Order: sequence, then structure tokens, then C-alpha cells
Amino acid sequence: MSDHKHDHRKTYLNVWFILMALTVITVVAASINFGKINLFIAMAIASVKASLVILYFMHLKGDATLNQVVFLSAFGFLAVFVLLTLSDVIARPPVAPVVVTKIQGITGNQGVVMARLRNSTPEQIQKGKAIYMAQCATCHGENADGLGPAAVAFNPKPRDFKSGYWKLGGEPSRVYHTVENGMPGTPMPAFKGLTPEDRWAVVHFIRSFSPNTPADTRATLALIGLKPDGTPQSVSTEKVIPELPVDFIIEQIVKENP
Amino acid sequence: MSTHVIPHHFDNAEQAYQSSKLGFWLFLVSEILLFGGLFVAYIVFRSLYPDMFHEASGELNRIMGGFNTIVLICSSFTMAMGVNRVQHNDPKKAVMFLAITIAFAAIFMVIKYFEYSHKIHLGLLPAGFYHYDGITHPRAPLFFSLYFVMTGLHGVHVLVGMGLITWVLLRVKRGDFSNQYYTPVELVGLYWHLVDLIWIYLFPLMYLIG
Repeated sequence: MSDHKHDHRKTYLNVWFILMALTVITVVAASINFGKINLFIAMAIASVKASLVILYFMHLKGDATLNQVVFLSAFGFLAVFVLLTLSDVIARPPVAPVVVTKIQGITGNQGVVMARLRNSTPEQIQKGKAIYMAQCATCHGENADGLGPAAVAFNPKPRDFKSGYWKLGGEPSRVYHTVENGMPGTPMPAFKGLTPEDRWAVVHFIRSFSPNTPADTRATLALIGLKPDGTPQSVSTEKVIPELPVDFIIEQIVKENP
Repeated sequence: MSTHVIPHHFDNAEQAYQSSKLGFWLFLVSEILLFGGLFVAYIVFRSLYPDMFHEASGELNRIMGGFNTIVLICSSFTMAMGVNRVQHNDPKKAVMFLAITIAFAAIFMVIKYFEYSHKIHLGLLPAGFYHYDGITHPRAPLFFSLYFVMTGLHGVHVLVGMGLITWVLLRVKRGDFSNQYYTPVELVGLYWHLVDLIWIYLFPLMYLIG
């Protein structure tokens, strides 16, 4: 403990003053636009500040050599962590720009898409089956009887689609609304991560089991933003925020690069 | 006066002190790597969506973030002074400096509370909880996932630090330490400086990248 006999108070005060000054400098530097150099300036200043804290406040300077090696090794490990991860990220082909334009083409005209998708087709039912098995079967069961492996834990129990009973209505639009928003007060979650196309496919698949499949009415069509005759509104009042689910991105990339 | 007894498996006080310190440095290494994982996530997503980070970062309050940086630097200074006073058999001043450190930590958390409640109010929340339409980029929730997890984990460390500093403060008051034995104060000091260290990087990365 001999190394703590002399007084460090003056050093602490100087270090404190420099740290305060560097904080002001980094804020000022960030408000000036140097382009990409901004990041390097900010990181350089942060590293000077960090070094001051480590060397003087934590007095790693003057500490046992073993402690110095141990602590500095953290930054060696951190470098390995960052560089190996980045080597993977950098090696990937750029995908984002392609996807963004593609998706906006579809969701930008949501009403038209909704009007088309709300009518069941065999292809949709088939597609819905695959999505159902991946997303829904754990709770609702592979046979749509509400007896999935996870159903045991739930109260209220997941819907048995063969019963013909619909808590929030069995019209296509109402079932779609339930898939999209979930059922508050029950474990049924909102599947906002699925595309409208995928949600409709699931809706048509689920309804194919039910002995009770009422048709849409004015009220239920309004629920998904369609006019009473089932056609899209001319002006969409809702702002559409495009979502990019991973599966959909992959699908688009495959389509674009046969 | 100090009533500390050196554990029997050590030769002397110096060896006991150095062992504790080595152990604590190792713990700090694990802390750096814990935050390191989050920094890696930050780096990867920022390299994927640079424009989104630019846009989303603009929603953070630089003044509050900058003020908190200054608060933490001051608290690191008073902590160092507190440890110094314990080492020089000056418990009265040590208690004062430790109390000021706790006060700074509390100020930091109060400002964090105002920042968080403002974000929650606007709907600038992680992942699926996000509901704010002022940012056009579809990946903006990702930034707020990182923001809340990184500053949240740091905030938990601040709270733990407040508890630890309170603990050593009470022990200093009770007269447990002297220039012969002050290991717990020294180690809590190291912990507190690490909390400051992490914020020194979090501040520019979250608030200043505009």
C-alpha cells in the first residue's frame, strides 16, 4: 500500500478539469459538420477521457504490472469481438436498397392489395398452411383444434377453429383484424411482423376449417379500410409504415436474382 | 480504529490487498466485455443503417445527455477524493465526498428518469413497442432497442454503485477503515470509475452522432 502514501489530490483536480474541458469540446465538435470525421473526433476524445480516468482516477498507472496486463487485455478481447463480427457483416452482399423500393410498391397501395387478398384462393390456403404451422400450431394445434403443445399453459385456451365459434367474429376482415392486432386480455399476440399477404393467407387457411364462415358486411369491411362494396378507398387516411420481415426480404431477393 | 483481521490464508496485509485488487480488475474486464457485446451490436447495426442512426439519434436530448456526462465526471472526481481521504485517515471528509458522490449519482438517475419518460410518452420505444411517426426509416425501433438496453444496463450499474457507495460510507462512519486497511473503499471506487468510463463512450455514440 506504500504507493498510496503520497497525496494525489492535485492530480485529481487537474484530471477533473481536463475531463470537463474535453466534454465541452466533444459537444462543440459534434455540432460542426466534418462529415465522416465527426465519428473519429468523438471516439478519439472519448478515448483520451477514458485513458485519463483509467490512469489517474483508477490509478492503473503505478498499479501492479499484473493488474495492468489483466485490465488492458479486456480491450484486446473487445477488439477480437468487434473485428471477427465485422468481418462477417462486411463480407455480406448489400441487400437493403433493393428491398426498400420493392416493398413500398406493394404496401404503398394497401387498399388495392387488401381488396384483392380478402378473397380466398387455393394458393392462399396452401401458403397459409405453411405459415400456420410455423406461427400458430404451437398453441392452436397442427389440426387447428386448439390443442397445441403450448395450449396447456394458457387460460383462456387457444381457439378450436373446428368449433365454429369466433369470439371477435368470423368474417374474413374480423379474423384478419384479430391476426393483425391480437386479442387483448388473452395470450393471442398481434402478428404485426407478418406481411398483409401472409396474414390473409393464414386467415383463409383458418377459416377453411370452420363450419361457421360468415361473409363480410359494411362494418367489417370498414375495419380493414375498405368501402362498403369491398373496393379500396380512393384516398388512404392512414400512413403506411412499410415493414420488412426477413422472410419477405429473402423471397424478394430470390425473385430478383433467379 | 480499524478492527480488520487479515484472512488466515494470506501472508500479510499487502498480499491480501493485492489479491482483492487483482480479482476486482478481472471482474471489471468481464464488465467491459458485457457492455462490449452491446457495443458490437451497436457497431453492426450502425454500419447497416447509418442514415437511420443519424435520424433517430436526433430525437435524443443532447443537453440532458451532456449534463449527465458532467455529473458523472464530477462524481468520479469526488469518489477519487473520498478514497484518498480514507487512505489518509480523514474519515470526516471521506464521508462528505462519498455523500456528494451519491448525490451526483441520484441527479444522474433523476435526469435519466425525465429522459425515459419523455421517450415513453412519444412512443420512442424498443422494437414492437415503438409507435412514433416522426421518423420515416422503418428500422428506427432498432435504435431505441439499443438505446434503452445500453443506457438501461448502465443505469442499473449506477443504482448498484449508489448502494455500494452507501455501504462503504456507513462503514467509514463506523470507523472500519484506516490507512492500513481500505480495500472495500478502493474497489467500490474502481467500480464507480468504470461506470463513468462506459458513459464516456455511450454519450457520444448515442447523443452526438448527428
